[in-house]
Amino acid sequence: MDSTFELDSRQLASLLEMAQCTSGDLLNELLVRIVSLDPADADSVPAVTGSPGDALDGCTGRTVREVLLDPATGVAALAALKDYAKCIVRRARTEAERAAGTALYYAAIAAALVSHNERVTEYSPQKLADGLAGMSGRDWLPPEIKALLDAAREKCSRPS
Amino acid sequence: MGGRDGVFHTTHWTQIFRARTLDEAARRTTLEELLARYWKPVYCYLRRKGQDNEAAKDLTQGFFQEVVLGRGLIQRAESSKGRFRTFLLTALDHYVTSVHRAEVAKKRRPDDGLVSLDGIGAPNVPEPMRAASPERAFNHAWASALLDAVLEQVRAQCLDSGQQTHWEVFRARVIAPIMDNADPTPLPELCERLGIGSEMTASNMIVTVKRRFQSVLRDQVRPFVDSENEVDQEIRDLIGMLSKKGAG
Repeated sequence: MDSTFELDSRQLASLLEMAQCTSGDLLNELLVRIVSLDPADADSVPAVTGSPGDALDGCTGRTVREVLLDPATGVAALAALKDYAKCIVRRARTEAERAAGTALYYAAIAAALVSHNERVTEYSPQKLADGLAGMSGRDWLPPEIKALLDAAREKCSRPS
Repeated sequence: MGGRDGVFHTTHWTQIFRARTLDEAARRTTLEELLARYWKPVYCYLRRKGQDNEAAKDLTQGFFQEVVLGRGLIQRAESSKGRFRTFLLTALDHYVTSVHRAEVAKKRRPDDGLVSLDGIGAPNVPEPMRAASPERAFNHAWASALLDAVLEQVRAQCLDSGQQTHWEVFRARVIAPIMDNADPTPLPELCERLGIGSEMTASNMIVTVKRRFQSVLRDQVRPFVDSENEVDQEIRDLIGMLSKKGAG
């Protein structure tokens, strides 16, 4: 590996800046991940959650974003995605990582509600609505995720 | 340095602390490891302070031998406030002053010689630092040493976990463009060269290694700050110092 000793300050700063990731950067990284059930893959469902993740079997090879936004994605798969996000939050080492994981968590819950009118959470409707509202207000959310959260919040607000 | 909760991170600094109680051979080994890792920032600072090559090397060796290892710098750093880098620099200044007062830097060298720096690395201050202030040269070399350690560890981890292709993609697309001031190798070309099935797979590989880089960088910075919250601040401070207009 070449040494950085001869680099100028701008180059060193650029390398260090790679360590600085906003919540938006981290969420985008989560969304472009390919769903994998290979335990050897550090980002796979088994590696992150410790469980096989069979419910996501039909989603492998697709990005997390595709799985979330596809109305045909099953409830069980979305619940597994929610659990995946929960594990990401649990092992987060920074606030930015925690926020990105939480956004994915709510997005999975929202997708189940919007696509199937199913709740994959034990949150009360009011608590869920508040959580969705709080997350939807973050300016670093991609527009399609914000739209998903808003649609879910709308459903929470309607009388059942 | 290990955090106000008293937990001392198990790092080579801990080994250094413990080395004070070891036998001479073990202390020498520890000193060699210490110098290999940290001599450049100290050396560059001394050169920019006006020391010639030989004097800077002597003082660097003496500082690590007598102050860092000999006088328990880590213990004192743990009870002090502020960043370890700053503490190190202050201790170095005091040491240089004391050496000059004694006026006999050469006489401080034991008869059997301190660990030699000659075989370790380039003795000259690199071009980007030649017009920099001593403090800037120190911080520049500190950041460089930090990044060298991080990149080597990330590469090693990738190879150990069977992710050599991950490392090759990351290096070609992220590291080399920065280090070489060049355009990144196009993804389709990389995929063909490395036998990667799709550009999406290659992008995911880059993300995986980038997150490993972030994690390793934080691990490398952590021993030098007081709390987890300060890790990000230390990285921001280093970026800020490097981004300031001025020589280097």
